[in-house]
Amino acid sequence: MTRAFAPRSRPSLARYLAAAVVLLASAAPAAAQILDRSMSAPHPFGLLLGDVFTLRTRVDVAAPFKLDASALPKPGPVTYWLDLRSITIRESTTPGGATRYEIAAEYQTFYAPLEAIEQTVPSLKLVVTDGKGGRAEADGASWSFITSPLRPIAATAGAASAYGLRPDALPIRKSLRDAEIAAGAAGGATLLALALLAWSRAWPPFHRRPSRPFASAARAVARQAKAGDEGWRNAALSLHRAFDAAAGRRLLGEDLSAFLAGRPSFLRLEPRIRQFFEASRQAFFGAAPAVSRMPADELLALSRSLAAAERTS
Amino acid sequence: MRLGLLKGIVPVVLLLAALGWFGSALWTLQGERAERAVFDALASRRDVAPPDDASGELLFARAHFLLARDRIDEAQSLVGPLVERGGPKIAARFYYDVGNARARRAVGAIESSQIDKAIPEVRLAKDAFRSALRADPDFWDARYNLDVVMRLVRDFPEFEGGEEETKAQPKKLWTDLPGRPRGLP
Repeated sequence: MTRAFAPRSRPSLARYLAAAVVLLASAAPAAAQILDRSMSAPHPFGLLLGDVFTLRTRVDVAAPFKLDASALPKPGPVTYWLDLRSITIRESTTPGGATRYEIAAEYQTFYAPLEAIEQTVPSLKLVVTDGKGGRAEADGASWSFITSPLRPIAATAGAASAYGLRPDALPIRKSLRDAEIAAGAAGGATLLALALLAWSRAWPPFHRRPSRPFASAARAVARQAKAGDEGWRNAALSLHRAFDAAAGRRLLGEDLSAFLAGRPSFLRLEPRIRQFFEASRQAFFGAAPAVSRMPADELLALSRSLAAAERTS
Repeated sequence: MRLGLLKGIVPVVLLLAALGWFGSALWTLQGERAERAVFDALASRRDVAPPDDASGELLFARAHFLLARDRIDEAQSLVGPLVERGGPKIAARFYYDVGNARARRAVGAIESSQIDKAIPEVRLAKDAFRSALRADPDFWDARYNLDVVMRLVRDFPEFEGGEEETKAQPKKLWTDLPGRPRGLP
């Protein structure tokens, strides 16, 4: 025996060792594919009925092999006192080229101990396959912890109702405040949007907006244009005053080109505007009745088009 | 012209959006007012059935009303929509109240020495408290009451999945409860 440890016999010892490793490998192939496994767990004491804890198992698997996730337990009862709440697997690659699996198993204990007692969570069964029929198994670590009772065995003095049950959970009367605030805010926003629209269209109370002369002219035309020859003249005058206000000075037919050049949104209406100026000249300074040149409906339509064009300028 | 078009359209779009928001806010407020009315009726001990589209919280209020009156089967018919709409917290409180109702029945049976009736009720109470803890592990009252009913009838590994537990002998009843003088240890 002593000779076996002499320097001279080292080569033969190494051979024995090598043979032993080969034997081990053939007897337990898992050792070859599952390179490393370890588990981290929370403090193994002070757990109570209903506590949730997570056991993290880390497994390194040699390259062609993959962890068979279907061999791991499914969430649900594990034993009569232990539930598996969830199990998640995270996959990554180690620097050595192996696949690393981090399995997080979340358990919940329902053990109701009468005194502090040790309980054991069964180990996970790890199965790896290479997809070509190769298969190896290993057990993860099991974990023991000490679980403690919530109350003593003898009835406690504080137990009020029969058998000391805690009272029912009561429904909560929901506050309406949030819904009321939301409705108020929405109502305010609606009023604001309405005011913005009224301002943009020069509706009352914004109908005297100086930058919207055609909007008020359109309203005046709508009132007056249908009232015969006299009404037509009044309507045309209202429209002229709007042109004057828009131009900033008295606008005559000859100045129209200069006026329109600065207002691209009115260009589309140019022929009708010219027609209106011509009709108005005939009505005020000519002999022919004006209505024959530009009917009241057309005048009204023109004034409304002008109001719309004014909003978009 | 593009900018001009925008200036013409934006106020209209804003108004429509605000109107939509206002309408939905009013609708929500109206719905919550209606729920509150049913809730208050239940709280004042009137037997009112909630509407079909009631929220989880209102369904729980109804279940609580039923469970407090020992109408457990009616309350349990609410479990599907209650869990679906109320989420885990309300589900946990519902299961907990079911467990309490079962436990009250069991205690009543024990006190009138009807052990055969008590055991299945205790088992159902345990299941209910476990469901409550699964839904909300931080529900300490459920832990406590589960511990209480666990001591009425212990779990044993050999009963797992079997029918024996319902046929268990009266001596399986944990003995710290009936007949024990209360008050002093």
